[in-house]
Amino acid sequence: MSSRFFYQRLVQTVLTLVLLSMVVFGLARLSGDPVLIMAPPEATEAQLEEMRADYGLDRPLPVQYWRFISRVAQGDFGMSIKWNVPAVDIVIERFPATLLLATTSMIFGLLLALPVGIISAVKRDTWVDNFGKIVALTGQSMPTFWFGILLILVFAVYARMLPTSGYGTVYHLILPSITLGGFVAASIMRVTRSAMLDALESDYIRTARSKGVPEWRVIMVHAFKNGAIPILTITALQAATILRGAVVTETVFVWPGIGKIAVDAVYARDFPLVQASVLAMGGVFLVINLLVDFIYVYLDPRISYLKK
Amino acid sequence: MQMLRVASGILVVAICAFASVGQAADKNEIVVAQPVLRQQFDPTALVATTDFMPQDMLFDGLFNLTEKGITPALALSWVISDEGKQVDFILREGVTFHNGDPFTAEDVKFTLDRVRASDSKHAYRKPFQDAIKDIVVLAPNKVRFVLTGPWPGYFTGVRNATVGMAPKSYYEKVGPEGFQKAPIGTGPFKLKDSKAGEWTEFSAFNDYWGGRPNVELVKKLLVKEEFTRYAMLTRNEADIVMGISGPLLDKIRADNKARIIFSKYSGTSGFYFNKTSFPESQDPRVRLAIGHAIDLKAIAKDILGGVCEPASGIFTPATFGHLPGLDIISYDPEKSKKLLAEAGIKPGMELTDAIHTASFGSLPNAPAVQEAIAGYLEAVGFKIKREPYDTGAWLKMMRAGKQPDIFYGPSSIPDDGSATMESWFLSTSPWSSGNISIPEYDEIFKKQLVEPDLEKRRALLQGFAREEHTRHAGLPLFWCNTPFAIGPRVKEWSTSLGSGYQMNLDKLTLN
Amino acid sequence: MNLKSIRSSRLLEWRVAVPGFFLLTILFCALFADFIAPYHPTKQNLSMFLTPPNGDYWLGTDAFGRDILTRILYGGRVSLLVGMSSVALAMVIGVLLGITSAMMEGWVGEAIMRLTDLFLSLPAVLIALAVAATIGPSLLNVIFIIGLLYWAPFARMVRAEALSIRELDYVQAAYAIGCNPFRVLFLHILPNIINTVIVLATLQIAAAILLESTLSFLGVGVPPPTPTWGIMVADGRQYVELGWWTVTFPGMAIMLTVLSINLLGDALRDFLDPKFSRR
Repeated sequence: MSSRFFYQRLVQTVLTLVLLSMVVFGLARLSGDPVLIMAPPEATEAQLEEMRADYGLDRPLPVQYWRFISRVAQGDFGMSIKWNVPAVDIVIERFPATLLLATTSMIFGLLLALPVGIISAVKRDTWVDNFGKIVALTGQSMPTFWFGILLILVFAVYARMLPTSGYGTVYHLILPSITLGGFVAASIMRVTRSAMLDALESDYIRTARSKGVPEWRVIMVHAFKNGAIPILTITALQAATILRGAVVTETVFVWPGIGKIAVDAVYARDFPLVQASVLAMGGVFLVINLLVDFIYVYLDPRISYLKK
Repeated sequence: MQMLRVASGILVVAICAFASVGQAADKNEIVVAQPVLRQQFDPTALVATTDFMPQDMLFDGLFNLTEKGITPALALSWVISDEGKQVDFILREGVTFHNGDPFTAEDVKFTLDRVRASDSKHAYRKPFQDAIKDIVVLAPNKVRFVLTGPWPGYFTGVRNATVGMAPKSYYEKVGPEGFQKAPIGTGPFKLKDSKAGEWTEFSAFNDYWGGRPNVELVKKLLVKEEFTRYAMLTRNEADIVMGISGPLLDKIRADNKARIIFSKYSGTSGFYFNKTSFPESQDPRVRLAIGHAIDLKAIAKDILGGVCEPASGIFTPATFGHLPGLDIISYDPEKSKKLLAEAGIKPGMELTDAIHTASFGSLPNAPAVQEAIAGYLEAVGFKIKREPYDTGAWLKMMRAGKQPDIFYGPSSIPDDGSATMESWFLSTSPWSSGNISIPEYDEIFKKQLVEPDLEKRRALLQGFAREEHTRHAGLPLFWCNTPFAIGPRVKEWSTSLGSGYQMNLDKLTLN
Repeated sequence: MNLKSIRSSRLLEWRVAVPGFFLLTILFCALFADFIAPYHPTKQNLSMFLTPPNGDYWLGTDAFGRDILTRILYGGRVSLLVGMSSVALAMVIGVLLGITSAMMEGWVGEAIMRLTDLFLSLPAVLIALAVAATIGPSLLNVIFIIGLLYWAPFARMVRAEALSIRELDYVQAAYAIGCNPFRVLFLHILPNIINTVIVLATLQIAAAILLESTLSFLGVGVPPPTPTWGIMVADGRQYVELGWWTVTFPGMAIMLTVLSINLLGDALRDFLDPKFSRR
C-alpha cells in the first residue's frame, strides 16, 4: 500500500469529521432551545436567559463552536442537559449494544443474502433466481417500523415465542436482528450475485471445471473465494450503515443503543448529547469506510486509488 | 490482524455486558413501562416540570394532596397564625433517611432554603422566594415558616406541598453532584441503579415510616413506542404501562387478564384564539359556533377510548375552585353554521391550527384528537391549515407569542384553579400571550392570591368559572385522566390524584 | 448462445412487465384518484370509526372514519410525488456537483468530494428529524429535506464515471483539438453517465418513499390531513391490534411499490448499465 494513499485518505477522513462536527453543531443550535422545553411556563425572559447562561448557550455561535471543538479534542462533549450525565459516557455506554445488534443483524443478513446471491448467480435467469431476488428485496422494501411492529405482533403477542422488546438474552436479539438484517440483505445479495457471476465466468473457473473439479467445489470454494472481496466490502459498508443509526429499530424494540438515545436527544434539544451521538455515528461510519478502503487496496493492489 | 483482534475484543466485551443484564421476572419485582423517564433526583434542583416524576419514590413532602384532601406526611399537623403570616409545623418523629440519619426540622429548613435561594435552579422557586421570609427551627420536631403574607396556595398546590425533604448533613457532605448520583430521602424506595435514558431501579426501604413497601424492586423503563408498551403488557414483561390511549384501552378492557385504573383528572384542556390574526374570534358568536362544531363526546369515546370526558369548564372536578353544575356546549353543527353566518363568516375561511405531534399527560393521543377537531371545524365550513410542532418547537412557538389563529391549550395537574388561570386567562399569562385580556379576571386572580380563608378563596375562583362560562374566552375541551394499564400480577393498587407524579407504588400488592 | 439469450430476454420481459404493470397501475390510480376514489380522502366521519372491510368500504376505514382505499389512492399520489421530486432534486444537485468535481481538479473538486463524504456519513433519519423540527414539517420541506440528504451517492457515482470517461481516447482527443469543455461535457460525458444515473435514481426513489414513511413515524412527515402511505402506516400503527386493515393495506402499498421499483431498478441496471450487467 502506498503511503501517499494512506495519508491522503487519512487527512480526507479527518477533514470530513471536522465538517461533520460543524454541521452537527450548527444544526443542533438551529433546531431550538433546550431551555424553553425545561423551564416552567411562568419563567420570565430573564430567568430563561439565566438558564441559557448556565449551559453556555448565551455566547455567540463561533465562540460556542470553538469551546465545543476544543473540549471535544480532550474527549469532553459536555453534560447531557436532559440526563445530567457526561454525554460522552452515555454514547460509550450505548455503543456495545449497537455494535452487538449490528453484528447479529449482519449475520442474519448474510444468512439470507449469501445463499440467495450464490444460487441466483448459479441458476441465473431462472425462477429460482427471480424468486430469491424478490425475497431478498422484500426486506428492503418495507418501512422498518411497520415490519418491526408486525414481527412483535406475530412472534411476541400472538405466538408468544419471543420477548417483545428489550435487552438481556439471546432471544431479545432475534426480532430486531431480523428487522435490520432483512433490510441490509438486498444490497449484499446484489453484490454477491454479480461477484459470483463475474467469478463463474472467469478463466480460472473454466480451468477448474475442465480439470474435473466437482461443481459444488467450483462454486463454493473457487468462485466464492474469488468473489469474496466485494462481498466483504459491501458487508462492512452495510454494517457501518447500521452503526450509523438504527434509529427506528432501536426505538420500536427498546434496544438501548445509540440511535434510540440520539432521537430522544433531538426531541429534547439536548445539544451535547445530539452532538456526541451524531459525531460518534458519523465517525464510526467514516472510519469503517476508511478501513474498507485500506483493506481493499491491501488485498487487491491492482486497484489504483489515486485515480479516484 | 491486529485490527481483527481489537474488533473481536470489543465484541467479546459487548457480549459479556449483554449477558450480565438479567431480565426482571422475579416474584417481588415490578416493571413500569412509561413513555417519559426523568432522572433528576435532587429535590432541591428540579429544573424541568416533569422532573417531579421520580420524586415520590425517594422522598416525602410535608403533606400529600389526595382525593380525600390534605393528608399528613412528614408533617403531622400545623397551626396558622399571625393573620396567615406564620405557619408552625409539627413534624413526624422517628422518621429516618435511607442512610439511617433521623429526619429533623433542620432538614426542612435546609431543603426549602435551597429551593428558595437566590441562585436556586428549582423550577418552582418563585412562589417560595416570594412568600417565605424565613424558616425557623423551633425544636427538632417543630419548624416555623415566617411568610411575607398569607400563602393559601401552599396548601392546595401539589408543586408546593410535595417538595421532597433532603437530608442536610448527607447533602452537605456529598454536594449536589454526589447527591444526584446517590440520592437519599425518607421515601418508600431507595435508588438502586439507573442507566441514563433507559431505566431507573428502586429497591424497597425497609424502615419506611409509612410501612415497608410490598414490592422489593421497582424498575421504571423508558419505552417510547406505544405499541411496544402494549405488547409488553400482553406478555407480562411490564406490570404497569403508562401512556396507553384510545382504542388500545378497549382492547385491554376486553382482555380479562389486564385492567385499567385511572389517576383522576390529571389534565384539562381548552381551545383558544389569536385575537390579532383572527380578529373575528372576538365575536362571542364565532367562539360559540366553534364550540358547537366539535363533537367532544365522539372524540372522547372513540379516539380517546374514554380516558377523557367533555369538559364543562376549564377547572376539573378535582381542581380547587371547580364550579359544579355547568353545562357542556352541545354538538350542534347546524347551530354552529347559523351562528357563523350571523357573524358574517363565509364558508372556506382559512384558519391556522397548531398540531402538537407528541402526546402528553393532559391530553393523551393528542395528534389524533387535534386532527379530529380540525376535521369537525372543516365540516362547518372552515379550511384548517395544520401546523405540526414537536414539543420543543411547540414550546418555542408558544413562548414567543406566535400562536396560530386557533390553538389548543393543555394544563397538567390542574390542582389549583389559580395555576390554570395564571397560565391561560390573565393579560400576563405566558401561554395565551395577551390574547385573553379581561380586567375582571386579573382582578379575581389578584384577590384570591392573598385570600387566607379557604372557602372565600374557593368562591372567588368559582366566580371566575361562572363568568368564563358565559364569556367563553376559551372553549373548554376535555378533562383527562391518566390511565395505567396493569397486568395480572398486580393485586391491588390505587394512584392518587393528579398524575404519574404520585404513584404510591409502596402500597401496591402483588398476587 | 442464441437460445440462452432468447430465454433470458423472455425472462427479462417478465422481470420488467410485472413490476412495470403494477407501477403503471399505481401511477394511473394516483393520477386519476379524483375520478376513481369512492369517497373523499380527508372528510372525517367518526361514526364510521375503524370499520372493518365490507361492501361499502372495501379496505375498511381508519380512526377518523375515512375510507382506506380512497386514502391509499390519493396517498400514492403524494408518496410518489415526494419520492420522485426529492430524487429529481437530489439527482440534479448530485450530477452537477459530481461533474464539477471531476472537471475541476484542485481544491474545488476536493472540497466537493469532502462534502460528498460528509453527506454520505450523516445519519439521514436523525438529520431529517432535526431539520424538520427546525423548519417545520410541510410537503415541500419533506421533499427538500430528502432531496438534500440523497444527492451524495449521485455525486460520487457521477464523478467516478466522469473521471473514467475523461480518460477515454476520443474524449481526450476532443480536448486535444481544443473543444470547449462544456461541449465535451454535453456531447461525450453526459450521454455516457445517463444510464448509471437513471439506475441509481430508480433505487433512490424506493429509498425516498421509505424515508418519507419514517419521517411520519417520527412525527415530522407531511402534515395531516394530506394522505400519504407513510402517514397512514404511522398513524395506523397504534390500531394494529384492533383494526389490522388500517396499517396492513397502506403498508402493503408501500411494500409492493418499493419492491416493484427495486425490481425494475435491478432489471434496468442489467439492461442499461453494462458496467453492472456482468455478462
